Amino acid sequence: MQTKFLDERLTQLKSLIASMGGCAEQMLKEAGLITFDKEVNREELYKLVQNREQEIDSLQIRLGKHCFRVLARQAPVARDLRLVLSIISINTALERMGDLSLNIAKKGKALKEDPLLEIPFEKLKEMFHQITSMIRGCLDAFINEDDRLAREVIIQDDRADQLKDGICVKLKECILANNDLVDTCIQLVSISEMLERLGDQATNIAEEVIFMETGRDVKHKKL
Amino acid sequence: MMNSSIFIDIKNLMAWFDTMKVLSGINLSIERNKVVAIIGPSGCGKSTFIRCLNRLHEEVRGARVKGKVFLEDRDIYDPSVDPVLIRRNIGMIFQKPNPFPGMSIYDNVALGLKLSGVRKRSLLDEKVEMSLKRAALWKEVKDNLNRPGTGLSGGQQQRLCIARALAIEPPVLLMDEPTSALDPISTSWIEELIQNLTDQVTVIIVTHNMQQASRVSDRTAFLLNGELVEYNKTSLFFTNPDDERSEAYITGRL
Ligand SMILES: Nc1ncnc2c1ncn2[C@@H]1O[C@H](COP(=O)(O)OP(=O)(O)OP(=O)(O)O)[C@@H](O)[C@H]1O
Ligand SMILES: [Mg+2]
Repeated sequence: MQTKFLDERLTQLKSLIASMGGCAEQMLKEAGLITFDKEVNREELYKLVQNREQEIDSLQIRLGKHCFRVLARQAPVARDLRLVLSIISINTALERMGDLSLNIAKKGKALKEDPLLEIPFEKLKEMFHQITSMIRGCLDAFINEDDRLAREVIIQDDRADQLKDGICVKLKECILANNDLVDTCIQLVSISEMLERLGDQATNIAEEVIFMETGRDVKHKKL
Repeated sequence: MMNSSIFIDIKNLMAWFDTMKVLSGINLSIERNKVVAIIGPSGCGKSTFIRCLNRLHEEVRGARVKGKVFLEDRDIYDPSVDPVLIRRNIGMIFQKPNPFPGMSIYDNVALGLKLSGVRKRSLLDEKVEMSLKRAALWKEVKDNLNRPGTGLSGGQQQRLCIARALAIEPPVLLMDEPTSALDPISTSWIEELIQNLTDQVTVIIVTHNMQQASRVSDRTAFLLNGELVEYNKTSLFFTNPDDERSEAYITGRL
């Protein structure tokens, strides 16, 4: 009976993570539309992103309270304990992801266009897709308790870092070609940095999934 | 070569009640001055196991033991060993505190010393005080040493029993669910006391309280149907056990 109660609580925690994750994915998708899609109503979409950010914040608080209670009242051990500890970390990671996506959306809606910037934009878009897939991957890995998938996400992070470096090189060239583009280029660098940090958060989540599944701490280690 | 830090070495220990085998070949090595928790479902053989470690099991009619239990390099089941001396030297604390009825607090603690030949009053006084202090009971009873031990509260009685066991300075203390009848405060007293004992004593404690096992022990042994399923560092046992049955048991899913 006791265990059934704990199982119910753990299922509830996992579904809260799933909701937060869904929200974070949606925010990033919308931030991407704002940044890359010329057809959308940027201001309207931005409001939507803002609302989602608040939703994530309140989910974070709720989830934190639930975790605290489960630890205090159920004193879980072994895999159950690892699950709750992972959820606490993932909770923080998802909240950060929300902040980062909101910032991308904010910068994205103020971007100016220029034919010279086409290549960096394309590269940024590629990085955006890479990060989107990492986030998808780490959340799937969590939901399906799949540490193999989590490992794949961590491996992808190197590629994201390479893409970011490539973007910065291209943007430097643009600035040299046309000084008027400095401001926009700085915004684009900043977006690529936020995407990189989103990738780091996805990696954190993936590491938590590996810890939860195997009990092994793979942080700061080569896989 | 035996590892020199191994203090108690249990080899292929088996135990029966009449024809019913309740321990089937336990192997376990315990280091000096460590706390080992024995856990497992009711009836799996925990009490039988620790009762084999001070030769108490064979006292039951029809009960039998096979195997070896080395204390340092001496097998306590060697024919040359006197079981009475073993029982006297390896203290045991039970679930229900059992001070000697009709005996004062002082005499409860002093009896073991008297039995082993201590006569000098000043030495007895000194040892009684020291034992009661180690059992964290001194402050509460020092002015009432002549009151009957059975007049104390449950938690105090249990500490009295611990003081009694400690008086003869045993190398090993066996505890069979020592706090299961106590409130959380008395329980935490006893747990703290267990930790403090490990400067001199090796403690083997049976408990049904998983949190207690994880709080007080260095290693945890999990018994199931008379078999040792896992013997692991407690920090690993409760965070990432090796055996699936251990995981199932401690998470309440066995
Ligand atoms: N005096 C006895 N005579 C016959 N069988 C006994 C006796 N004492 C215990 N047994 C049996 O031996 C087995 C092991 O019992 P033991 O008392 O060692 O279990 P335990 O793990 O300490 O259980 P609990 O957690 O309930 O204290 C059980 O099947 C029990 O029924
Ligand atoms: Mg028992």
